[in-house]
Amino acid sequence: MSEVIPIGPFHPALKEASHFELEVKGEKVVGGDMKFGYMHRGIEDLATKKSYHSDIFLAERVCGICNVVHSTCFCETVETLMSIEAPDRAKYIRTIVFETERLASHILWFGVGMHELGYDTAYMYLWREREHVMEIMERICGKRVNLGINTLGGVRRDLTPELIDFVKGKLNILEKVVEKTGKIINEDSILKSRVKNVGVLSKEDAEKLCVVGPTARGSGVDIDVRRDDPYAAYSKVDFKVSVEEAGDVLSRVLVRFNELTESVGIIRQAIKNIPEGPISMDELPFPKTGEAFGRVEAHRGELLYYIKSNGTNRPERVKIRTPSVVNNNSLLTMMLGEKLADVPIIFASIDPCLSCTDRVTIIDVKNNDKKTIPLSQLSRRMTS
Amino acid sequence: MIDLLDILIKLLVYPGLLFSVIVGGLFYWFYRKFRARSQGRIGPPWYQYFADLIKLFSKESNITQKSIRYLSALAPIVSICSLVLIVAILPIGSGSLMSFKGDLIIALYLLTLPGFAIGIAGLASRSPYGIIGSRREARIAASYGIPFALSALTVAFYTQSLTISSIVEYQIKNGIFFLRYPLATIAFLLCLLPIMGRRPFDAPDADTEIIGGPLTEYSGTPLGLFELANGLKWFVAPVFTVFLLFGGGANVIELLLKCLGLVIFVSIIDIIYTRYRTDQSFKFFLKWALPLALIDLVRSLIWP
Repeated sequence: MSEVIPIGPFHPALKEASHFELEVKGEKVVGGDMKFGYMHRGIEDLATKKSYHSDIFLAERVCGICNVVHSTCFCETVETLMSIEAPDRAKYIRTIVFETERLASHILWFGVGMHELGYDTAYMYLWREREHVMEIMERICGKRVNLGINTLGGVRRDLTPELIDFVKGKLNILEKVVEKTGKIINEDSILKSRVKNVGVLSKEDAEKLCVVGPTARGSGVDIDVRRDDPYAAYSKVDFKVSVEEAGDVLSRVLVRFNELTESVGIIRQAIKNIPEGPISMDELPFPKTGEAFGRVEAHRGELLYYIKSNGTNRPERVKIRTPSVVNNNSLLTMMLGEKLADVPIIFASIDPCLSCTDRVTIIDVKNNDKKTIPLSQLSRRMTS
Repeated sequence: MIDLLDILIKLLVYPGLLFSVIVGGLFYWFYRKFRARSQGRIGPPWYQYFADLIKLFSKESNITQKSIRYLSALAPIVSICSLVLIVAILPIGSGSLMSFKGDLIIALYLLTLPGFAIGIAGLASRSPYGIIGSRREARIAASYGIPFALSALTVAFYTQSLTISSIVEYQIKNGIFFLRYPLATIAFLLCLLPIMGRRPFDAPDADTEIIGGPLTEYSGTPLGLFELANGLKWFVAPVFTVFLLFGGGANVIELLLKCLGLVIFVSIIDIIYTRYRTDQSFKFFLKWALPLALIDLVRSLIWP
């Protein structure tokens, strides 16, 4: 006899609004269903009603934790439509901010992961140390969360020599934080026993489900847009793409941990090699009629922007494919057969970002309207 | 009549309910503050636990329609009664209120009762989170039960007595059992963690998995009673350990200081470890706590 455990839309383990129904036998997960759509905001439609310049701000508000990712991708795609390229110095600044945000996102993720495992001390420690990353962002961009650094054809703020020294000092601190994080992961045996061989996603499944980012790299799929299709200044910096073969939660943890180290290295290189020159363009051409694709490696995986232009100052169509859309589908595969106690960490291990997901699944929600009537669910819960 | 009044005062005020709740609440606050400070947080003020109690008792209590009402109400009362009875058995201050042959066995049983009460509470609420929490509570109770009893019996075998007051007297004369039976003490302290519901054995109320666990559907007065029982536990569990293995205290201050030491021990473990799954804690107790308890039990039998 199995019973249904509802998780979400409001649940302490899920900081974001989504609904899971897990069928469990005892503590073992034997089936499940998930439903998104609580955070639909109609951003793609809204983007076609605003000018390209206003859309930068809209793109930034798709997701709080990866706003530079979205604005960089949007700007680079529109720059392709305009047939221009941002100045070199702007590209380097984009890279620096991009990687700083990756640090912020990954450290936040480590904290959440520790919290899901009940290791609140590490969670508090990491979130406290994350403040150094926030300070870097605040000093470079003038803001802490929605950074607003990108603009069409460049960036809006320049790096001064004092700022570079400040960032270098903070990077030294962050290196120690990363080292300590590695110590926590590698030396805590209880922690390891909770994440090893849990939530396994095999390489075949990973390829079949088209997962991206750290989720894919944790399953041995060697993809990274930063290396495969360089944007910003990534073609000019050296970094390793870390790939783990095991496919369990631990390997996804290790991939993200290695990315922390790499991010610090990338920022260091970018700061060292940053060229002199302008950071933006004085005049911008109109986007030509046509369409363009842009992709970047967001913290959760490949982010894709498709923009169709009709020659006016507004895009005709903006399509955003966020990494969580594809990664979320792999969740049930990972959870089947696992214990209920492991569900939160498996869920956290792909670092799902639901506010960006829900915008894209609107069509599904509309088609399956009858399925989402709460009454039918209610009756199901009563009978079970 | 005066005898009855005396007993009632001892049972309800000192060293009974009121005293235990106040001391337990302060220990609980100490744990929270200590934990918060070592995590870089500020932590609650000292009266937080009592403010919570007042708030919960003054609030409306909703019991869900699906739940078994009388069990939901009875569970916290069972929990409180069993803990107060242990306080009555223990010789706190001027002698014990009710000491009899075999009270060690009774006290051991009573100390595991709050766990069962929480299990019953979860089942009675009939919420999926509650049921899963109860199942976990039961599984953990089954795993720590044997090493817990064995390590306590080591002391009983050695002194040839099942009366707590005689065990305490023996320790005052001949030195504490912690030095004689360190392995049994470690096993006993490990079992103290799940009894107090602390990491790494706090899976029954893992908030990120099953929200409040067995107490998810509780509110108002019943929840307040459970909170009261929780505070009592923070006093009863350490004080019982101190009497059994650390020789009690010549006066109340010494006793409470020894208890504080145990609270610090529990807090440190809670701070530095993450949560075990229930199957992992089961294995842990069978693999580590049970052998430790067994070794000292055999030692107490062979070399009395």
